[in-house]
Amino acid sequence: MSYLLDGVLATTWQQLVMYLIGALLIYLGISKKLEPALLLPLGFGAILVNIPFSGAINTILPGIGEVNGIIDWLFDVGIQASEAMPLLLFIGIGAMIDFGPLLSNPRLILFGAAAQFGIFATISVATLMGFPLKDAASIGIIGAADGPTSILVSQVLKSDYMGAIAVAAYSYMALVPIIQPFAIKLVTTKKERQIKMPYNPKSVSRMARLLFPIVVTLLAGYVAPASVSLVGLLMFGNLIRESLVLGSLSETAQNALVNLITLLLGITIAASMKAEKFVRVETMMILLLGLLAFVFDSIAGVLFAKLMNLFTKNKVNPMIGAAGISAFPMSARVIQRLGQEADPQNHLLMHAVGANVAGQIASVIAGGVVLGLVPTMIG
Amino acid sequence: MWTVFKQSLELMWKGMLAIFLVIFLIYLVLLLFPKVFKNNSSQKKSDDSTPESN
Repeated sequence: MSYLLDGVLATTWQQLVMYLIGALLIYLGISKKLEPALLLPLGFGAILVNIPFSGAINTILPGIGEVNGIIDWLFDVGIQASEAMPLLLFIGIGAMIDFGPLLSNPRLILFGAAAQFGIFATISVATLMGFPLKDAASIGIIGAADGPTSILVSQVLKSDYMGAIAVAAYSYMALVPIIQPFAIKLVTTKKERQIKMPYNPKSVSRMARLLFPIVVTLLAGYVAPASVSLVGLLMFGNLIRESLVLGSLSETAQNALVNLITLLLGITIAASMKAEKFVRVETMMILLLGLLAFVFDSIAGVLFAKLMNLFTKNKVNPMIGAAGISAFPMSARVIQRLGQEADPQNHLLMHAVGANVAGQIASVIAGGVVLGLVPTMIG
Repeated sequence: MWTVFKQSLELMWKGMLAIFLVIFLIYLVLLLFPKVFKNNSSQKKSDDSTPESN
């Protein structure tokens, strides 16, 4: 009868820690509503893959050999072999995005670029903490504030820390309403937060909406070819949306496709949350660095907006710069809330939305740039 | 470690340069759009109800 106790006897303390982490992620997803679509599957997956002799992962059976487990198989096929899952998700994301606020106020796109600084600042800090460049770059990409990009970059660069990176990326995206006000208040005065910005949206022609995704893909593709898969699929989704002749495909991309991939993505990433890979000091360091990345992003965006104000007649509320991250629409809502805290008559939402969608474009470009540069530097 | 740190600084300036270049080119194109295309049709009202996308 001892075979009934094999599992219990084989349980390690690291696996018990992973059960607690899994339970915590499920709790945060359900009770706190922090990115439940990702944290719940991640949490449950963390439990599945850490049960001793789990059939959900590849195992070696005596006398038979290796047998595939569904989670390892999904990881191998959907992420490791092709990066298909995070990339296909971008079609749906692109179909969701309305670039209207950006097209009607083009200067907002510059904030998207500035707020990517946190990625590179974090990479430098990570190297000082002893991470090799490929891992440091994968960790820094948490600052893209974009889960699929973080997963893709860490996979392509073959980082050992994908599980921790995914957990950090999605957790901090959900914590933007807490992190960003702290970072913004560090570098702004109340007077600056009270700056009002009139909203006079210009109409956007249909041709501009149609050409925008194509032009962005071409420009990004020529300067940073490694970003084509990311930017290209994002813009493909947006072109489907803006074509207005593919309503059902747009609908499918926004709902069925995104839901299906999200359903599987979290539990698939859990393949990288096996106790021996996850329960280590580096995981805590990654969680800390991820937080730093979001803070650096926000501060860089704000400082860039202040710099811009030195040269422009129409002043920008510096908080708009912090909305240049990809966490949409949380970041824009945070800016609106902070603006109204400073002055109840201050309405910044639409400007912040424009900067926020700029952040979505810039973050995938940043992902592509990192993918293009890092291999040449470590090669 | 210092070698890797120096590489990260190189990555920083090269990366930010590439991102700003692409974004600035897009910005120039966005400035050109209203001049090239008249606002003749189907302006969609932008709102903040776009679903969460990450």
